[in-house]
This record gives sequence, structure tokens and C-alpha cells, in this order.
Amino acid sequence: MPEVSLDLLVEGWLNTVQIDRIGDWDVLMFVYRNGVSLFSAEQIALSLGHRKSDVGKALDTLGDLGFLNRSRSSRGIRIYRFVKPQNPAQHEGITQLLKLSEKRSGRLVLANSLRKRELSMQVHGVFQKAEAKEKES
Amino acid sequence: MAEEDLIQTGINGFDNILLGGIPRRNTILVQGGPGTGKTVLGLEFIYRGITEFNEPGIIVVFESSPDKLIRDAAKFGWDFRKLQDQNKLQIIFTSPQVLEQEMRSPDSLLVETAAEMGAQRIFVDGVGLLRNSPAHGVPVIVSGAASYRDTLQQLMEGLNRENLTAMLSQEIGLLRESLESQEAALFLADTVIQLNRSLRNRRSHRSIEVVKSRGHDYEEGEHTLTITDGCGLEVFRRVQAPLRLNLAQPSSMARRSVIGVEALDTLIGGGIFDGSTTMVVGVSGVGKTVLGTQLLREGALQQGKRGLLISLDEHPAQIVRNANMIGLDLQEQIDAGTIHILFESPQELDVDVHFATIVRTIEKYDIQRMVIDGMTSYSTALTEKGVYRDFFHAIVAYSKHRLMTTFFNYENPEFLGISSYMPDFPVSSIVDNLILLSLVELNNSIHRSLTVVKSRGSKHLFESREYVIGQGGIRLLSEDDSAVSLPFTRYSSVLSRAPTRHAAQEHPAHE
Repeated sequence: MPEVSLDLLVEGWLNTVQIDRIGDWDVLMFVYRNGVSLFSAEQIALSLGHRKSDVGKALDTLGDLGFLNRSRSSRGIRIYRFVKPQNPAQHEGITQLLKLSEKRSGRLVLANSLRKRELSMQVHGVFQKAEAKEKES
Repeated sequence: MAEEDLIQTGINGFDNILLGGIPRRNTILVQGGPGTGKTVLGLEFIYRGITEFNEPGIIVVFESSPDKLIRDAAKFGWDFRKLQDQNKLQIIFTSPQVLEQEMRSPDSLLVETAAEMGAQRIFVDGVGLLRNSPAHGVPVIVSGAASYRDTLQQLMEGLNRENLTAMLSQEIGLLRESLESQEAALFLADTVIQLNRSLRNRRSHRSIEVVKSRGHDYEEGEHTLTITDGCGLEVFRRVQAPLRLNLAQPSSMARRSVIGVEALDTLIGGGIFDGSTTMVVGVSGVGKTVLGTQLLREGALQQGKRGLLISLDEHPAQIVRNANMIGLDLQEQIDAGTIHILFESPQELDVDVHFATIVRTIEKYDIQRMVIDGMTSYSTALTEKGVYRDFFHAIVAYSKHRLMTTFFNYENPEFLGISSYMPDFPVSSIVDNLILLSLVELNNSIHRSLTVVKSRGSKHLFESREYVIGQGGIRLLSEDDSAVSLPFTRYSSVLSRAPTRHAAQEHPAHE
């Protein structure tokens, strides 16, 4: 049986868990590592070195995907809890990705895949915008 | 204070120092330098609360990652993940700024979480970081210690309002603002626990002191603290402090044979009292350990009293072998559990831990006869004279309280003749009996002499008797079977460096 490259495996796992941005992954790792965290989006952004708006978006995405529980907001502060996905495929995907990110070499492969996905999303967005413009005209 | 009003830490030995525990809802400040054990103390406070008293708890951390905390706790055998899954423990990672904001908020999420899980204990690790938190928009580091005090007060009140017993850890620093904020925390907290780490004989030594604790009494002073993998913390009460519960001193009229040798019992005035302490003084090699071994065997074999031999000099195997060489079978008694040997190396001796080990051994095996062999090794192990004296006083008080018969072996540095009982450790007034084992030079040979110079409550004889060590141990010689051509009674000044032989007519019986 031909050996499947790690890049392809990572692509597959990322497809399963539906994470496309490095920012989303960083926030997921932050929540995962800390188990239960009491923070505002601004504080998380400060810790990770990302923009507050990006962290806000990432928290929404991860919440929608079911990777984290969010408490009500108290002056912008929430309690975030990492949640293991119930879906077996998603569970397997996230487990593999977390395992991969334990080592630097794995993190580099993961970061590379996420960059490609971001780029492809941006290109896709540009095409969509151009298409929309063309339709308007 | 009623027991239910006290919160027990569950930390081995610490609740005894706290005389039961700390009043509930006292805010406890744990302070100390790096590596003193502040975090471990807080973690164990929470862990024991959950596992031993069914009191759920929360741990708030700023700097260390919860993952590392869980890993470190596992080293002590504390399964934090399991407790989290059972919703008995929450480890919350946050920042000082967020916590400070939370405590000012009427709808605090932290407090809500505590209420939801029924938490009764909370540990906040590193409150000193609140110093750098912007209070009311102005960083505390700029606004000074007063603002830190306000922030801390808000935190303490907020936690107290929710009926949580809070433990806060604070690192001690040397900068001015650090010292000021330490002072603020000291005043605000109800209970202050100080942890220290220092070098003693190049060995790291940890200690714990309850600096203050409102609403109850506690054992003052610096007690020894140990941190052991697989166990956690253990606090050993400083040895010099009198045991509060044991103030009454019992006494006994029962006299018993020392080693089953009638001649010795006669010398000492008819045996020794239960609960008496005896110092055996003599130069190295004179037979102090043999006398001690016989004392324990006599107790175990003839009187049904369990014995303990404490040695800092010789390993148990060597003690057993040496005793065996003169026909004293110690192994049989050890196997039967009637004699125990406690050996500790003097190089690594921690006096509080050592004393606690002795007490535990005595209580575990119901020891009634004890030999400490010997005091000289303690004096070299415990370089501080005061600590050495405290240890001795504590062991005397403890053994008397239990009505134990205790022998201390003291190695006198003088080879021939004794000018002072205990030149470097004058405590002979504390013990009840004093036995001198001396070497005597007569003609060109060395002989052994036993003299009872003190025996409280007994009419002892001030005679020096020759003894030999052979099969069966020490044997006191009678006038007829003296090892020398003439018995000791034919000499004067036997214990001096220059014994003198009497004129023949004074003792015609021996001519």
C-alpha cells in the first residue's frame, strides 16, 4: 500500500475538524491547554499576539464547531472550557492534530497546511468578489 | 472552638500545629521565597479538602499552566484530572487583571462557578501579581502599595462573601514595592503562614511557621516541612515545644531489674523505676552498647516489655552481629517484634523528623524500653547546641510521659579517669540515674569498672565494681572472682588516673 504523506493526512484531519485559520488553531490550543480559562477576548489576543477581532472570530468559530463552551459574558469576560467533540471522526481528527502539535516538526507541518488553506480561502474570496462584480456590471 | 468551625488542611502533621485546623472563612496567606513549597501547600489544601473532607475546591492560576499543575500534582499521587471530571475541582487559568475585575463585578463568573459546584475552598496562586494589575485604570505598580492593598482586600472580601475559605500564595521579593505589598497582605490576611528554605550543613532545609492566625491558638515557632514524591507535604513539630496535651507527668513505684544481673540491681538500689531515665557515661569500647542490648533483651524476654534501640553510629546488621558474638541473640527478638532497631545516618539528620520517627515507632510498637546509642553522635549531627539540648529535653519528657525506661549512652572523651560526667553537654542533672563505665589501669592491664553515681529515689551504693564482657554480656565480678590478682576493694581512687593499692593489713581476707 502506498504511504500517505503527512501533509495529506493533516489536510484530511483539518477537513474533518473544519479549522481553516492559524488564528483559530492558536485559540483552540490556548483553550485546550488551559482546560478552563477565565478571560476576555482582548486578554487572549494579548497572550497570543493576535488581533482582538481575529480572536473574537476564532472564539465564535470554535464555539459553533462545538470545541468550546462559553459562559455568559461578565463585562466581556467569559469562562471558556475545551470540549472534546462527540463525533468520532472529529474526535479522531482533533486527537491526531493535538498529538501532531506536541512536536515542533508537527507544528510546522500543521502551520504550513493552515497557511495554504488561508491562502486558498483568500484567493477563493477574491474570485467570488470578482464574480459578483461581473454579475453586477 | 468547635471542630466544625475549623477547616482542616489535611496536610500530614500540619493540623496538629494548628491545634485542629484554621477557623472557616479565614483568609490564609502563604508566603515564601521561590522553591519553598507555596504552590504544593495550596494544591494539597485543595486536594485533601476534596478527598478527605468532601469539600470541592477551585484553583486559580496566573502563571503556571494548568497542565503543568496537573502533572506536578500527579507526582504526589493526586489525580486532579479525575477530580475535575467529577466536578469537584476546577483549575481556572486567568490573568491578575481579569481576576481583579472579576472581584469588583457583582455578577462574578468565578463566584458563580464556585456556587454551582459547591466549592468551599479556593487557592489563588501568586496574588503578588495583582501588584501589576491596573486598579481602577491605574497600574498598581504606579499607584503604590495602597492600591494593591485595596485590590487584595476586594479579593479577600469577595471570596469571603461566598463562604469560601481562601488560601492565597504570595512570593516574597526584595524590591521596595514587593516589601510594601507583603506588609499589606500580612495585615489583611487572617492567617499568615511563612515558608522558608535554608541551607543547613550544605543540606536544604524547609520550614513552616504560623505567623498569625485569628480566632484560634496554634503551635508557635518554626517547624520542619518536607515535600516527598508520592506523599506530598509533611510538617514535623519542632522538638523543643512541650506537648500541650501531655502536660501531666505520671510516675511509677514499680522497680525492675536492669539487665537481669542481681549485683547491678543491688548497686542501683534495687532495680530501676519504670519511667526513669539513665545516662550511661563511658569511653568508647567500654561496653555501653552491650549494656543497652542487655537492657532491651531483659525487658523483652523477662518483663514482656518491647524495646527500641536507636543508633546513629552502627547499622542494625552490625549491631546484631556484635551482640551475637557475645551470645546475645537480638535477631530472634527482632523477628518476634519485641525489639526494634532504628538507624539513621547522622549526616542527613533532621532533628524534627528524627524525633517524629522515634515517637511514631514508639507508639506503633508500644515500646517500653529504649536505648539511645549514643548522644555523642547527636552532638556532631546537630551542630546547634540549643537544638541538641532541646532534642534531649523533648525525648526525656516524652519517655517519662509514657513511663518508659530509657537509657542514653554518652561517650566520655577521657580514657582513664573521669573529671567531668559530660564535659560538652552538661545535662546529667536532668536524668534520674547516672552510671559510669570506666577503664581502670591496674599494674599493666586495663580493667572495666561500673559505678552508679546517681539514682534518684533509691539508696544506691557508691561502689565501683569490676565487670567483664563475655558470653551473655556484662557480668559483675564478685570479690572472689576478680580478674586481677586483687579485687577493686584493695585499691583506693580506682576512678582516678592513679589508683593506689592499700596496705595488706587493711584487708586481711585477701592476703
